[in-house]
Amino acid sequence: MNLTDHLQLATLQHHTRRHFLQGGMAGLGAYWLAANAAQASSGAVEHDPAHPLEVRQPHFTPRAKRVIFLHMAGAPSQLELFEHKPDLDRLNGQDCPQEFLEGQRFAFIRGVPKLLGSCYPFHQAGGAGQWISDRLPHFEQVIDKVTFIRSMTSDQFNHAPAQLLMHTGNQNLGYASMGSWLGYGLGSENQNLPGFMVLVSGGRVPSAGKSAWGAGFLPSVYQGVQCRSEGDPVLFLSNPKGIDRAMRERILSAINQVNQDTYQEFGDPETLTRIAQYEMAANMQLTASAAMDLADEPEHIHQLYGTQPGRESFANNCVLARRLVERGVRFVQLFHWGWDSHGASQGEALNSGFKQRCAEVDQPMAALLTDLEQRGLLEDTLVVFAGEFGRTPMRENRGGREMQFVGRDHHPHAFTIWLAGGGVKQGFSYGETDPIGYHVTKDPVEVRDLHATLWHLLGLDHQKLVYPHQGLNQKLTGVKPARVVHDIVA
Amino acid sequence: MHRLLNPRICIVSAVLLVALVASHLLTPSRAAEEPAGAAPRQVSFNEHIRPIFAKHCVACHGGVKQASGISLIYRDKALAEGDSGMRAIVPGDVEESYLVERIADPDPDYRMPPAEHGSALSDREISLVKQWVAEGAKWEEHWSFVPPRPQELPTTRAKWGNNRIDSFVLARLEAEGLAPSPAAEKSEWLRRVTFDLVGVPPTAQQHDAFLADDSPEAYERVVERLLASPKFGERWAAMWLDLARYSDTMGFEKDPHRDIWPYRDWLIRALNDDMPYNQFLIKQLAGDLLPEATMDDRVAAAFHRNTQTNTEGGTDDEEFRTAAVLDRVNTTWQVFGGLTFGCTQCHSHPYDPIENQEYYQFVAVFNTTRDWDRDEETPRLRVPKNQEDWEQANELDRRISQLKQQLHAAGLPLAEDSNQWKSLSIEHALSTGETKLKVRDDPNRAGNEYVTQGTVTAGSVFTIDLVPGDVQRLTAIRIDSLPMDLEKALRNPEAGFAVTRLRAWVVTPGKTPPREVSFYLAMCDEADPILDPAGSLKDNNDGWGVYPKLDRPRWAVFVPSQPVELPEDARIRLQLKQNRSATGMIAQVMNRGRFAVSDSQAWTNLLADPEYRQLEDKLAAAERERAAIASVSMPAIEEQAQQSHRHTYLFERGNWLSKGDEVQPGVPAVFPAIETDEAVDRLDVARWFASTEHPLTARVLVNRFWEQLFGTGIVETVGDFGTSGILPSHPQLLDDLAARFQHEMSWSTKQLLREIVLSATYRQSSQAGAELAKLDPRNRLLARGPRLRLTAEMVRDQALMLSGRASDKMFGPSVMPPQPDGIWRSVYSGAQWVTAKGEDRYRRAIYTYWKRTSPYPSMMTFDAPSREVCSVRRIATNTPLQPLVTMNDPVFVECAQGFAERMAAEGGSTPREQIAWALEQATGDAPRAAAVTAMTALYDDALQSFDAANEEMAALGSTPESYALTIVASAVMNLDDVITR
Repeated sequence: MNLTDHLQLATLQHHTRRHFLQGGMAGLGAYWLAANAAQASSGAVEHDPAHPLEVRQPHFTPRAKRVIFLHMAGAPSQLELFEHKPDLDRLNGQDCPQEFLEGQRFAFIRGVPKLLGSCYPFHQAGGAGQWISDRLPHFEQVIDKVTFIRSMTSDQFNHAPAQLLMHTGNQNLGYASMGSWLGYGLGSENQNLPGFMVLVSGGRVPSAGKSAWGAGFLPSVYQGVQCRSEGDPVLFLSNPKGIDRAMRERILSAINQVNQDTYQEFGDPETLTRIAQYEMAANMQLTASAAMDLADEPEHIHQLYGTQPGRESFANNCVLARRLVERGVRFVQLFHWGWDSHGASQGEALNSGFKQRCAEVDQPMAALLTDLEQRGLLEDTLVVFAGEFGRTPMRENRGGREMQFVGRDHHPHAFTIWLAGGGVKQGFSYGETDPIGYHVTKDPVEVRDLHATLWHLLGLDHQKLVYPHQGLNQKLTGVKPARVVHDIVA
Repeated sequence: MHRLLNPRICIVSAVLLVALVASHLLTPSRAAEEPAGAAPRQVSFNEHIRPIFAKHCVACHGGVKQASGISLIYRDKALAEGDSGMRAIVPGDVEESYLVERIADPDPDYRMPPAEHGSALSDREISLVKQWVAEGAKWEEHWSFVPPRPQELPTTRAKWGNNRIDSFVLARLEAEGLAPSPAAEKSEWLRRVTFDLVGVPPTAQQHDAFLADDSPEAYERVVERLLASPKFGERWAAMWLDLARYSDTMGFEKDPHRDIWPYRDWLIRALNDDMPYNQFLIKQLAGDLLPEATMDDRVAAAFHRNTQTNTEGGTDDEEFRTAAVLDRVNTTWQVFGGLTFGCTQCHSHPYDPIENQEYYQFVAVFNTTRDWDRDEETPRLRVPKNQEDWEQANELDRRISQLKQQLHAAGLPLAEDSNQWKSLSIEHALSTGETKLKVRDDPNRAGNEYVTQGTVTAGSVFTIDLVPGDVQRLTAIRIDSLPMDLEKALRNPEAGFAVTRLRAWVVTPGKTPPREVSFYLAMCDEADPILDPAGSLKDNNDGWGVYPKLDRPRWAVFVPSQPVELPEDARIRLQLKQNRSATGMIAQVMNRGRFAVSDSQAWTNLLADPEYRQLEDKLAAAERERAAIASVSMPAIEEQAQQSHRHTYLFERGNWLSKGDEVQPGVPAVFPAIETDEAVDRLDVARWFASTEHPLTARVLVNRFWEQLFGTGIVETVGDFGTSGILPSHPQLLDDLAARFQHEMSWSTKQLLREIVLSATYRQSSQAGAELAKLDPRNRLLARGPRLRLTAEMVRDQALMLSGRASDKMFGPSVMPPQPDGIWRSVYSGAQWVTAKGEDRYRRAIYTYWKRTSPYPSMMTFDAPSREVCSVRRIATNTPLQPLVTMNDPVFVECAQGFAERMAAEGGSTPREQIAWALEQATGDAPRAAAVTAMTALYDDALQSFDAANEEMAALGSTPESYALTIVASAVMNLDDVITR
């Protein structure tokens, strides 16, 4: 771009911004307007509908400014990772007592299943002496950095609905995901990158599909942008072959020159926005490509995470997550598929594929915490590790038969997640379950409570971050009362 | 009266509601036009009082919460005694009206609303309420709940306009001190109207012909041509598919393929044929129930089979069947009624007089279809691929159905004659797998039954030995399958069953081997069940069953070819194979069974009856004939057999597992009643929506079309015409159009569109002066013409048109144009995106394969919804991801190349001519000289930078000229003027 173009663009951007600030409300429709008016009158976040990703202030001083959410899609077994239940081990192979079965709905378990002790030995680790199985040798080195919530409960026992509940606060389709809420509520720190990015490994998207990072009823501009491990990291990011950077800039300059005349002619504020978006697209081409390129990471980082450049892996995605939050991406969502350990096939069985899954995530997730801490990012970056529910203390007997491999069915009543950084306690454990890990016995945490707590750490009052839709003041935490789990906040 | 109230959690606060209503600064209201403080001559409930109640009162005294027994949403409740025994409102008597006393009380501890719930009413509000009570507290229904009537034309100072629409618009403008904009240039209008009516830009020939036509009818001629174009249906179906939540996949985890594109084709045809909207509506909601339903009607009814089917392992089919039914209810109201009816799933509507129970009465109307979230998506309709076969196929379907009814009717009196059935006593009952069978007596009847216990294994095979007692000759066996708990099963059905193979032997002690009974006939309690009982007699996966759920006792009868003699001490041994399992290996095993035999000669006579045999032959012939018609099998809407109709219960707090009182089908009382002596069915409800007395239907449709043309509806909240929706910007215009649409226009959507696009309002220039842009940035007053971004479909279709490669091929299975690798990665699914070849690469966007969990990326970027649920509105965004699509998506690069080829071939001899030609093609208007200059400069730069040795450049254009033209073509296709209509 030559100097004249630069100056022209600067004028244009100034004009654009001033136009926005004057309150021009272009194009984004009634819901925006309604949302705006509603928020203004209820004292919530001020919103500029013509500039959707502009940074907005939280309700109060946040502990966390950004989130990396490691979703273990398929729901890993808490009983093979974090929950030491000696009584369950002792009862291994016995019929499950009727009292646990009456009135329960299971995905696959039929009739009277057998109890199943942990497939792997447990030991205590870290300064706090927390129990952990032998499957996560790297993670146990950083166990003192995390808070476990051992009393998570869900009311959904199928993957897609449970994943939707975890990410959108509702088991039905059509609701807004956490990352899109944050884009709406807080905007994006880096206008050259999407504020909400999604990284998928394990060969499959999660069961809920793209709805797990959809915008639901929020404007689609807030939906998560999926980064790809092959081809362009963001769809259509690179110029077509035969158009280099210089030619792209030349084209953009010509487009914007004509568009500016169009604005003079029609006075449509959307034209101005479009000029800015074309410029932003060009910046994004550079920024996103650079952000997604692991080649400039030093060798020790590759070793720390165990990355294999060029291949889709959870390890690569953990490094990318760090690179993205470093560049101001607000919410990075990782999905790692393959935790659905029913014992229906070798690939997912607790005594087989599960080991592989553990090996895939153990080193990278430990490295992520170490790396973030070394860069001073952990204190205001919240890392969450969770599945969509837990797994049963009983062995699955799909179709009423003993199965070839060892597995557990879906279990919504009690599961374990961990959080680290972003204002949560270190080396802490919250909530308890009964001796076989079936029900929560102390301090239950509903998914909506988790959401309220995440919002709290991000400086948001979950009652106030609202969006009017279908006659309701929608919020992530839904209509039932949700509580912030203050006990886990440092 | 209680002061301390629980905080409202679920519903919008009164503050928000008022914000919603007031957020549109330009919302007209006669009340607002009156000088503040002045008393109106007569207080109107809708204009003056309802907004006060909505703002200050209904959060606690509304539909959800009726504190102290007072609701200000329902007239009878507002006028009744509250819990205190006092009457809140006594018409005509201000002194006796407790409400007035409370809102006007000077003591803040006593005044309503309580301070913590909001501010006190203003003096003006209080005096309005007093005046209203004094004048008799006349109640009015919410504006949109009163049928629309033609309006008197307003008087205007200026003379302007082509038709009635313009008078209303002008009156409003004059009230605001504004004047309309001048008419648009002809080419601007042509581009606008062509995109709006057919979804593609005008061609050069169309452009030239229109500009050359100076006659007064030039505009009408264009509109007639566009309305007659087959592309019309494709453009408007695109809008309708969002409403119908159309997709080529089932949704959820695996998101498997679904063939339902005949419904999409039906839509296109119906729109092209200008099917009257009332018929269009009736066919989609209840085409299957129309008397003498045609194939066309039955395909249309698949509107409500676009709900999702959950095939994820371990999901409960009843849960997701229920979800689909609720989706149908909510979608019906969103699409045809423009109401947030879904609000009433858990509680009465917070703002509108619709009660919780009425929601479930409406659910009951939709709750008796035969689909049950089965992975196979039965019931299905075989739609002939060749439309010429439709009539014959439909006739055959009807004949097959009649023959099945006749055959069934022949056996039914015998099967239902309890005198001839002798209960059999079970001697032994064994099962394979983990399944345990327990035989138990029934104190209330002779004979015994078996029940399963403990773990039930899928695929269990039962072997049951039965004692014939004094029966010496077997002519038929009857099996009764019962739910474990008859009461509960009606509310929450149990797992179903399917006998995929039934065999029987006569076992005589001491004599070997057992003699197998050969059955000829299997019939059950329905004439045409989804699973064919005759399948039980063959080794396949079909057979008598109720699948996937059992909600009441069911029976089947199996008749041997010949009577079977039963020696003394003989036993009847039955073997029941039950190979089916429902989603996620849920055993489909008969959990409770009873057996009986007949020795009546009547069964043998029936089979030997020549008339019966003839019916069977006719049926077989008809089925053969039908099978020979090449068809695509699509999910269909069909009613359950009358005796199998599900019962519907109120869900407590919206929870489907917690069922309360049973409800009967019906419609909300605030709307006109359905006059019928029989139970209200879907067809009744469809006709009710389509009646001219329904207050919402026509308004909602008119508003929806208006929104498509102007970017915003007259009612901006197109899916909410209730109290919480935004008031219409031009209420008289909306009512006038709606009333005339029903009567004068006979529900013709083409007539409606013709009137709108020929109005002077629509013809205005879209140029906004600085003053107007500031005053009315979103053009709610319509002082200028609309200028809108193209829809996702239009963005693709235009690029294809410009490239010269667009295919005009209509209808048929959805196609897969190029899409980057690795987009489809659904769990447990091997489905592949196979890029289309030949002309199918270049079909209009409406034919692009739609996968819910992974929609076509470029369309999503331009705000297409994923269509998991009904989407009433696309909000056009403007993001940096959009330029990435139109500049870099290989589809658009290929289109740019095609456009460049056309520039060279058709655009003239010099680059400048070619560029001017391209700009005119792409914008529909003679280009500004500056634009030609800017693009020519780009052309020159591209020409300079071309390097023939660079293979990538050469791939884009083989010569410097063709490379440079491709660069310019791509740039032109990215101009604001081109992305906009």
